Amino acid sequence: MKEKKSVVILQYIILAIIALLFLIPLLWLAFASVDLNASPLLSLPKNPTIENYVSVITNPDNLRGFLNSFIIAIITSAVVVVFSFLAAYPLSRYDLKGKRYFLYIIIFMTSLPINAILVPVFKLFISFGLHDKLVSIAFFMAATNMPYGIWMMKNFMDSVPVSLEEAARVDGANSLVAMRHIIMPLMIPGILTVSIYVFTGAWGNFFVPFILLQTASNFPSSVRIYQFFDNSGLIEYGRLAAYSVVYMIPSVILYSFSQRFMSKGFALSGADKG
Amino acid sequence: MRLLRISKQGRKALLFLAPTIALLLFFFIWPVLLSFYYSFTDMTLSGSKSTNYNFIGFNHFVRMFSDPLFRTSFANTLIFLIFSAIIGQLILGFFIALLMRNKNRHFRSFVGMTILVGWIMPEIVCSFCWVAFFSKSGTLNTALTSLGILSKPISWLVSFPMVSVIIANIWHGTAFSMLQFQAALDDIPADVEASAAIDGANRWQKITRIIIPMIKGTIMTDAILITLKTLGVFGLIYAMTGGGPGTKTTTLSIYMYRQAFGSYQMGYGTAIAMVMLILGIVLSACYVKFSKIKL
Amino acid sequence: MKKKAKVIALFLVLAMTLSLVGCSSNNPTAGTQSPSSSTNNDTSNQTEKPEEIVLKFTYKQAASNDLLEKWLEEKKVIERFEAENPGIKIELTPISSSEGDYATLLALKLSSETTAPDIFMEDTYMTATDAAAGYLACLDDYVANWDEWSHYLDGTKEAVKGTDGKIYGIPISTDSRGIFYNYKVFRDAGIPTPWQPTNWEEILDAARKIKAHDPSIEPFYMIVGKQNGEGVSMQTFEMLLYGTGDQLYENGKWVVKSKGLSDTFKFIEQVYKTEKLGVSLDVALASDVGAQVNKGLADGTIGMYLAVATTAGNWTSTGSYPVENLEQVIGFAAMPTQYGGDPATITMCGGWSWAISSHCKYKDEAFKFLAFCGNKENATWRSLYDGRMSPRDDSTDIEEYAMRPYIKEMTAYMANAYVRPKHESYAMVSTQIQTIVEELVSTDMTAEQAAEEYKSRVISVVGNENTLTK
Repeated sequence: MKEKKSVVILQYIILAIIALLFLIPLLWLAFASVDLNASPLLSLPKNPTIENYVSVITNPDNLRGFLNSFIIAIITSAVVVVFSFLAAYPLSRYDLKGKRYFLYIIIFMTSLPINAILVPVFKLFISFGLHDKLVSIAFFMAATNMPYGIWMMKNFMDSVPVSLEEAARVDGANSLVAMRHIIMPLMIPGILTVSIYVFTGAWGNFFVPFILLQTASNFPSSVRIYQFFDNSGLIEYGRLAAYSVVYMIPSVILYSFSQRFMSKGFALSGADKG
Repeated sequence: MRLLRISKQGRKALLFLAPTIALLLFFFIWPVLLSFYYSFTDMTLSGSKSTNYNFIGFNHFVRMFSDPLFRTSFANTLIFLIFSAIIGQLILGFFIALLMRNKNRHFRSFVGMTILVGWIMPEIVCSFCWVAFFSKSGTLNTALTSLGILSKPISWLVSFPMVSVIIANIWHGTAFSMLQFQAALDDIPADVEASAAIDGANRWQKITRIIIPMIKGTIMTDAILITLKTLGVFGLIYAMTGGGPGTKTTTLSIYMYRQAFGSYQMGYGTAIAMVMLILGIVLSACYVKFSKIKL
Repeated sequence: MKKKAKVIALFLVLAMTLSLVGCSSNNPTAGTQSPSSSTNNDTSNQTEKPEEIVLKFTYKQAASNDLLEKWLEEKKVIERFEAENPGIKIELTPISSSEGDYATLLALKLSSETTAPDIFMEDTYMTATDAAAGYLACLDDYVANWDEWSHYLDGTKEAVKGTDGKIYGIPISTDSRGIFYNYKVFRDAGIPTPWQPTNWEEILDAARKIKAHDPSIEPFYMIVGKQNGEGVSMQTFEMLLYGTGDQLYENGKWVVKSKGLSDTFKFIEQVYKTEKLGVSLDVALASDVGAQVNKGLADGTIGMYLAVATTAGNWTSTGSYPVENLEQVIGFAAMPTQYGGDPATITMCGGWSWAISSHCKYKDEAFKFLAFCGNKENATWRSLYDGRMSPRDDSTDIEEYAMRPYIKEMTAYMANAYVRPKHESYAMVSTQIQTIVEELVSTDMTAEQAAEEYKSRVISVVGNENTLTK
């Protein structure tokens, strides 16, 4: 159906306004990050400078923090993607009796705030010697992200037609081969979506590493953000803003990279197809 | 969907699920069960009750009924949920996805990117942006006073704290819903809409009678996921207002934190968390019943 | 093909298990503990001492310009200690966080042998609570044989006691509190300086005059935002309450209702709500309120600030807002009691302490470090660096200490000093105070309602049987 031209233009205008509204809060971040005397006040920096960025990037502790964040986020998303991909297969393809309950139970667990289970997790980590290790944090974060991961993955897999797989099976391929060669290529957008979702969550998490890590050299960048708060509560807004911008970059890169593979974007519509 | 015989399927399914189950059991279900147990004790984080705690049955849950702060946080949670998740993220996300259909590809990706920035931004950075936006000398006041809408600046975080955190959360979360709806709308066959046009349906009827029923499943899945996610929002509110001023933005997850980690009342804190779990289940069940869709 | 699936799945489970085991296997070598049996925590396992003992030292680190680190570095504290005590090494394990999170995380770490630091810095309001949990090593035997202990002021010894009356820490510092005020603001408003109010009404009067003279000046700041944690309870609430003659904890019970409690809430209400003499809430509740007020008082945009004496460190030449001729620009008055009389003034005194974890394997060596930090020279310089008062009676012998700003006032105000209740529930009661005070100033809660809320919330954390009504 062809829309009237005036209606289409109006739609463009509305969308442009929405985009603008979404951009405005970022203005402060952008301005403050190039201003040495930044404050919460929005003002055009008088002498724009990249000094904030330089001091943030050249600080070896910060680099260490970003590296730690990266290690945590990469392991977390890798574990979630691999495990939930495997788990989604039987949940999507097999006629299992309890699968609805399984899905319900794991998704409901996500309404429990992670803070509520941190103390038991802290004790668990200590008794198994897992505390103060990036890997164990990553596995814990992976576990808390699994419910979402499985849900999304299952729905993506539901929308891959079974017929393709059956054809492969006639040629003698088993489930694993079918998964690798038939399903996986078709699910690249889904896999990327789950990865981005989990990666950004793990990358930004403050409280889990704060409680579970001990040694300063293991701290991810989220924990190191306190460095911009002085003894007397003075905040170094300029460097904080620059740090924040740098902090966002990996997620932005990951997202734009994934866009190439996501012609249709983000499909979580499997539920429609039963 | 019958690819294999059932008997064999069960065993095979277990193999595929084994890593997940092992991971969940060890890192998630076990701690959750422990928390569940703590919620029936008077355990504290420090002090003599930290090691010698007692089983006190349903005491904490009874106490909640007469705890005015619990009632306030419960109400705040519902307000935050309805406005930021359902009205904000879900409806706005749907609306944007609807408008984005059949638009210029570059325009689409530009608009999409601006909305996505909020989503991929770490919570803590997100809250700094919004604190700066709402502060007395911040962006919003500068804009409104220079346009002459306000005669003098308002401190939004003090005067309208709930509205402020709701807006911030909408900004942070809308992309998730938008992406889901975009994908779902792409799947609607063009001929279905075309035939509706021939039948003389107007724009509104087309949305309510054709589009919404067709993507009902996505709407419900999205509603459940963002409801559960919004229930647990902690860092954003904590960094923006600390649950204040007073208790104005204290949601259950903030209250849980204050009890367990601020007042060291681990037992009561975990009991509040259990209520959140139940609330999540009840709300999801309502959605399922309301939309009459089986997952 | 079934086999292959099985093998792969098995492999995955195995890989995961291995990665977990792998994490744990290198643990025993990582820590500082000797592999002695955990059944024997006391002195007996000190026989297996390794050649070099490493003691983990945890403190709250302010991200930039940390005053403790500055002292450690500039005074070469650790180098000197290690040189004097060969075989003992001090490893720094700071926690960088807000004050409230520090106490929480420290308590959590202290609960386990693996994570507990050996030596740590602790705010004395947590001492009784952590001692009751069994997290702290009792130092009674150590201080009994330490000849320097007699130089410590009695009030500071009180602050490091547990509910059981035993000593659980060595005081690092103590502090008195009072009202900082800007001379120029006072002179402009026609208030005679130097100023010393003799009752609460005179504080309000001064504030009214300032407001009447120049409405753009914010007359008075008392800490009310709960993000300031203990500051709300100690600097504001208790400074008022203990000046009414009532206290938080009397005769072994928590007082949940008294005239003093009601009057305290009323005073806060009067300042922030009914008369609007307090700073505006977007300042008072901001996360950087400390910085804003320190600057405001120095610039004369804020008139008075009920604060801990340490605050003056912000205005010295090394502080964030240096003020020249500080004592001629900003005055420091004692906090009067409600109606004056006897006693005429009041201060709460608290401060931080060095403590040893009950899990520490080498308590003798740990105490050596505490004793080193607590000797005359080190303790005095430590308090010079962080701007607090020295806990020792002989610090004035050191010239720099005797010369510091406000030292006369700080010391004089200690004459009527109170310490916070030495009870393990104090920390929990204190968080109730913090929330209620913020609610009182920022919502439509009245002072009467606040007093009622205080009663019901304190009862719910300490139990009805542990409370009394006056």
